Amino acid sequence: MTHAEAQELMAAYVLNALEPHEARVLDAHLAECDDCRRELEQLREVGATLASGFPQAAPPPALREALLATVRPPAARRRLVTVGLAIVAVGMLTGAMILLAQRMYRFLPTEFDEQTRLLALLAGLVVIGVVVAVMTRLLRLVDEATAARLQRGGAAGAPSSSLWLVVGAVVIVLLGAQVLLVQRQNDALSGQLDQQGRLLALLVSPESTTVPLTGPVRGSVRLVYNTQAHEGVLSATGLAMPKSGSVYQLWLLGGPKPESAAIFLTGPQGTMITVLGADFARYHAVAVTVEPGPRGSPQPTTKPVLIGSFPPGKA
Amino acid sequence: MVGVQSCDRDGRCGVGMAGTGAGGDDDGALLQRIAQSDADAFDALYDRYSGAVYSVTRGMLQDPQAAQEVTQDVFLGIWRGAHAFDAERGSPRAWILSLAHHKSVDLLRRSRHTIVPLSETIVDDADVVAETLRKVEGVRVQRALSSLTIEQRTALVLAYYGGYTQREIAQRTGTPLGTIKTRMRDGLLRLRAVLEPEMQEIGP
Repeated sequence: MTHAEAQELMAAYVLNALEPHEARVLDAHLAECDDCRRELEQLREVGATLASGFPQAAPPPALREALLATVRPPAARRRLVTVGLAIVAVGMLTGAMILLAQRMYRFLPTEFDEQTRLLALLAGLVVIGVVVAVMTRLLRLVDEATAARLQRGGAAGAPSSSLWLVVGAVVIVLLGAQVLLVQRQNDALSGQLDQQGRLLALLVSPESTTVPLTGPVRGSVRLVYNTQAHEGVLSATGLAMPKSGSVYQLWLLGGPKPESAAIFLTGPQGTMITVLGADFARYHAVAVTVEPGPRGSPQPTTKPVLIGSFPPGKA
Repeated sequence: MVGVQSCDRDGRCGVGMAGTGAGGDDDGALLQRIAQSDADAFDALYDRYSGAVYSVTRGMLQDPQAAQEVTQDVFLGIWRGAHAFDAERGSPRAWILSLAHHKSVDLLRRSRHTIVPLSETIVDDADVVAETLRKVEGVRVQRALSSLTIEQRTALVLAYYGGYTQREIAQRTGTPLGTIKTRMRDGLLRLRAVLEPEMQEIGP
């Protein structure tokens, strides 16, 4: 449509006297023509004056009620749904974070004390928070780019709300953290299984030697060792904990000086099991002393509470 | 302040006013809020314009029931289509009244095709114009229309108040389409020239 043709149709457009297809063509021209829009603006005011020529009347009140009823409930319901979804999302995220924190806490090495582990946990959560913030920013950029592309393509597209972006980022980070945790647990478990397999083999092997340890303390303690495998297992049941601040320390006797082989405490019911690596053929006995915790001593400082001698033939 | 709801019998409805009523927001701001599904803004806009819209639909359709339905349709159209309002193409008031007129004309044309073509019931052009003009009560509008030539008036009245397309008018009056286009355009410009001083007089 030329500008002149558009000008010709403007009056009929204002009077709504165009066929629908003509109106559409003029609409398209109007979108591009500043002059035409200015003229339309003025002619429309004349049209509005023609509209004021009708006898004035008010619609029945029922119409107002009907319209407002159509308009209001959806808005109210939408708000309710949004708030509800937000609460559910925040709840689920909080739950997920707590679970993650618990798992992280359990995973921290137990040789650290409580305070260090809590600090490490806090640091971990802060790192996760930073990662979530970065992810949210990235998702926002992607979302805006997508919305812009959609708009250029003619389809309606608006950036999503921040809430959903944060939820998305948290979900991605949690899934990533979950995968890492499972991976590490898997590694740890296979390491443990491996060790247990070796331990079982050691315990049942006919090549192994069992040495009971006896002394002034109550409890059943024994060492099973294998001179070929250079491995041994020290196990205890019913062995009382040493006094607070102390640890048990196992010494190998046979060289010029006792050699420290393990430091241990006992668990529930006085149980304990620990794997040792040593060339047992070089020794003739083992002894356990009580030493100051948590690192024990380079040499025994107290009298042994348990002693076990290796059978002469095997040594 | 002359509000839209206080149109007098001459149809002096505050032409050219931004329509800043008791609600505080001007019409443009209300439409923006409505575009964001603000029901309060819609409520305010309805209070401001329901009378003007209903007057147009009832005047055009001459049927209170149909006028109510179209009025409802107009306001639902505003609720869903407020984002389409373009201030560069006219004031909110002109847009709303044009919408009311457009929807009335649509219904008129549909019922005309399904029932009896008006062209077959009334034979003489002058009769059609006179008949159509009975819808118009405002003295100011009547006076402005009387300042046009008969040809211009016939074209404008049949188009706006009669709801005929420019093609139908050309056919009915046995006039070339180009001539009808010119008459409509000249007639509207003339109306503007007559009405403009008044608009400024009662405008803001």
